Amino acid sequence: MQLLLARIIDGLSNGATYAAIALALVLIFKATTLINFAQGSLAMLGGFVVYVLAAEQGIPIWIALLIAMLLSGVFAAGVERTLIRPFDPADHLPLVIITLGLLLGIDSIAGVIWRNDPRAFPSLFPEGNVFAWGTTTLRWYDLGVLVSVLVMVFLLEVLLNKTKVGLAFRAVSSNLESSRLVGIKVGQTLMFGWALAAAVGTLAATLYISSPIRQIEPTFMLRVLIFSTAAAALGGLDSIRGALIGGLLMGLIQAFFGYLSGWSKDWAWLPDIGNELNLATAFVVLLGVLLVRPAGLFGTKAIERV
Amino acid sequence: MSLLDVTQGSSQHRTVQGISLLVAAFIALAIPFFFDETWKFSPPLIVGDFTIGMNQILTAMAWAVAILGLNLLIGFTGQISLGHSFFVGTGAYTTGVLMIDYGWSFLATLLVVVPSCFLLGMIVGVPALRIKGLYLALVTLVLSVIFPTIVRLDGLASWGGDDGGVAKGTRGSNGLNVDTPFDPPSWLPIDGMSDFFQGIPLIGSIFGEGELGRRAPERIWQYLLALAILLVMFWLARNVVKSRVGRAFIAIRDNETSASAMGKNVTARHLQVFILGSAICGIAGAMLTTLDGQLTPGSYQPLRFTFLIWIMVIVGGSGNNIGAVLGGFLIWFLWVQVEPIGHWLMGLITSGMTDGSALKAHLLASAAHMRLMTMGMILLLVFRFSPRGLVPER
Repeated sequence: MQLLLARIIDGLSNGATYAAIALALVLIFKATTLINFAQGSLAMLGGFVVYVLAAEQGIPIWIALLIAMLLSGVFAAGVERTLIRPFDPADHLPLVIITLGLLLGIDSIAGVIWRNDPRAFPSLFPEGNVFAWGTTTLRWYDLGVLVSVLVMVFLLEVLLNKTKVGLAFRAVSSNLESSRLVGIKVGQTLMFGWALAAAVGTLAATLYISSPIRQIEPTFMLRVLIFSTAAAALGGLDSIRGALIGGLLMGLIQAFFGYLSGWSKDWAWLPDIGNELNLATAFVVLLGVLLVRPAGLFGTKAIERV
Repeated sequence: MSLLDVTQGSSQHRTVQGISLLVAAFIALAIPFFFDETWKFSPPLIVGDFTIGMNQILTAMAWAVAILGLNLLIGFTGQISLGHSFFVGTGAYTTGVLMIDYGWSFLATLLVVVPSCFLLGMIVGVPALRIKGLYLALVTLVLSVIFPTIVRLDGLASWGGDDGGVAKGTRGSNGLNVDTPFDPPSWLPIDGMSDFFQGIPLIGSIFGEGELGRRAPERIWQYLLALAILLVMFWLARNVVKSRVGRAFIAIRDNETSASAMGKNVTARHLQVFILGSAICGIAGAMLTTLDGQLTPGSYQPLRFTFLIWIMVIVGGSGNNIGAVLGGFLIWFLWVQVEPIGHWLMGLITSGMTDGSALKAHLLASAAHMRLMTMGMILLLVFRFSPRGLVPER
């Protein structure tokens, strides 16, 4: 029981970061029906900026985080302007390959700059536990991640629903051509969407990596990206609420698999599905969603005229 | 009228075609008798040697097979898959394990590789292809990223049990080492062929006479096998595309709604081509296993691999098999040669700096990362200025 509870807490705090990256994916998907495979790498870059500012330059970490979110937003807006906008948004093929290339490119640049050795990351939250009950502990980190992601989702909802730029973004998401006709600057709005997504990603990466048991290295976001794509599909690729719930669910499913694999050691005939196949839970979830409910839990069902 | 001006379909045209076919066949057959493992040449202007060995030529041929598989999918049906490295890896490991642990011959392993890739392709394709949009890309991306972890599974790493302290199976992080030579069959007169090429007047000496000696018969046989596989796959891909099914593929790609209105089953065709492409990629993987020497989940980077096949198809021209294969050879050559050029370039840039400075060491070390950058630049340039590739679809 205690172990299960510990797993659930673990799952929720992992799930919150998956939710944040899923949210970044959803923001871009809503606007352009493109899945930005480089989202994880952009977030990783943001995480490293936080690392450089906080650990190497000694800036307080929360201020470093804000600066990094701003910088990564500017960078992503530049990427959108130079690499994405020249191509036809309806033709997925070049865009998918460009985002994949971006993923590999950013990863390899980070590999050149920071090498592939893991480094300790300064923590965002106080150390220690909020409470402990036997092996079940709720760390300040877990609580902090959950609260931060919830606050972020709240702010995002406010931004999208109560501000003018949010209104423009929703208009572009709903119909690109019509919003151009009513005078919305579509290009700038999409750039804003990319910047917003990258800032959200940087926050997610920083939250994820500031866990006391993790260290920062150039490929750490690939795992998160895999879980987050599954989470986004689970919640519905075009729903912000879906991304949040999908992310948390994905974290719980992963934790539950981990819990089960503790049992599977007792059955010799079962292969050890422990840590190694952790990533495969994302694959199973993804296939399950596609088989049972392709639009996801909260997504809009695609209705086609044939 | 110039000498090269011939009417299509005339007897002259057929003569020209026949002669070029003969020349192509001669060159294709002569290659293994010409190149050895480290054949070098030094082009003017660029400092440094380019090395082309048999290993690289054979690798390029394996890539070409993978390209044919992927081109069926993206070129002729417009589906986006990022997971073909999964099938390449599956083929590679199946062949590797069967050859090392069970002593199967290379061709026999293909009888296992093809059906298993068919089956896996179906398991992945059925859920993903029912839904339009980027879902196939999503599923296959996840699939290719988890491939190395599947290989490292304890169950698979030693499922053949222990054989005198040596585990059979995928061997986890240690990787496979396939060094079984390809013993040529007795009916193949490799010596005779060698004699033939060396006996050609004037140029006979370049086919390994003198101090270089003759080329290894195992390598020659391996090359001939790879050539045969490549030709069969090419013929297969061509026939699929030219058939009724192939026309349906293109109709669906160009306008899904109208194709389905004409009674074409879109999902079934997509699934068909996905499975076929998976099996072809499995064969490519089987060919790659016998080359790299070492197959480790650490060195096998699925995404990078996928990206490279994609660039090859796009640069060559998606929807055109000849173009795609040529693009494959071109990109593979660049991929291999960019590193020496990068080292030379970095050497030039850093030559003014003082020895031992941190920046100089850093720049020199980063030359190894030039490859991906170069590929990205090429991709962007092709997308921008020639989106249909070097040899566009006819």
